[in-house]
Amino acid sequence: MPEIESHRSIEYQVVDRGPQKEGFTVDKSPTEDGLEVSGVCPACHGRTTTPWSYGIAGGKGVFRKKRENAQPSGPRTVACECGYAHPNRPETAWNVGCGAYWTVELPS
Amino acid sequence: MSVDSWRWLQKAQQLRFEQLEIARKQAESWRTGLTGITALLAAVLVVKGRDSVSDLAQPYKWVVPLLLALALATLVWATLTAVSAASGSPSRKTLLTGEDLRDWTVGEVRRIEKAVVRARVLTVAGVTAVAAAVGVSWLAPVATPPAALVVVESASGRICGTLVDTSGGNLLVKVREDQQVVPLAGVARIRGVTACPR
Repeated sequence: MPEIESHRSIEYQVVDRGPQKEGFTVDKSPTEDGLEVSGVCPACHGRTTTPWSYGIAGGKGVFRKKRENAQPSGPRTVACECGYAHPNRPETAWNVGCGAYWTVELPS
Repeated sequence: MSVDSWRWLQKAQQLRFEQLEIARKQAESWRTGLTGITALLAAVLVVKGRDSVSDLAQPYKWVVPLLLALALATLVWATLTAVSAASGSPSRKTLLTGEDLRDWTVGEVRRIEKAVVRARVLTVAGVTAVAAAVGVSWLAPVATPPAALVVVESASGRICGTLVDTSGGNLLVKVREDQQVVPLAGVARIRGVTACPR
């Protein structure tokens, strides 16, 4: 049964919603090397999907160490990217969502 | 700080689109480092002990130039690899959709990483070859000077061999394996030759 999205058009606000223990799934990304977090934003109830991909972080150094954290774990921050144009969202905001952010546990 | 983690998240998301730039910068700094190492080698070679390899005994006479040629080839290959990684080769056209650009970027970053590793290995190999060549040229034994061949004409005939010594009024000449004794009084002519006449 398709989900009924009950999106609320709340004002854009950068607010920390804390750790979300439920409602989010972390899967292997279908398109790139990494993971994908999807769920429903606890603030505006819009569907949001965020990619967590593996990549290089900097251009320094000649000798490359082995990948530092072979398997990172713990809570990680996710921001709402529901795609709705929330009122008062600044033009320069980097995320297309309501501004809320929270943490989701990485799968161990 | 909670907004701080939001800022870090923003930075991480931005980095996803800067991968190619970062990879190229890595390759570029490797290329610069490689140029520096090669220049350093040239400076070190000035301080070497021996001027030429012609004094060395066989087979070292060939080993040293071979090692140097190998080192040159390896370092040239390393430099070319690093340059190609830093600037990319003129590529085939890519379909300019978001997905294809993303896939191309991932492939290109992987190619650059592999090229940098290859350049690094080649550099180490080239430097090692140079060190080995310099080491061999310093430590290899010198060739023994060729013995003096002479033709001795005397009352008893003409003999050709290596001049060994004089002893008790006689000239000692080594002809093949034996040592011939020629009285000095009877010697009419001694001349140096490069090879015994038939």
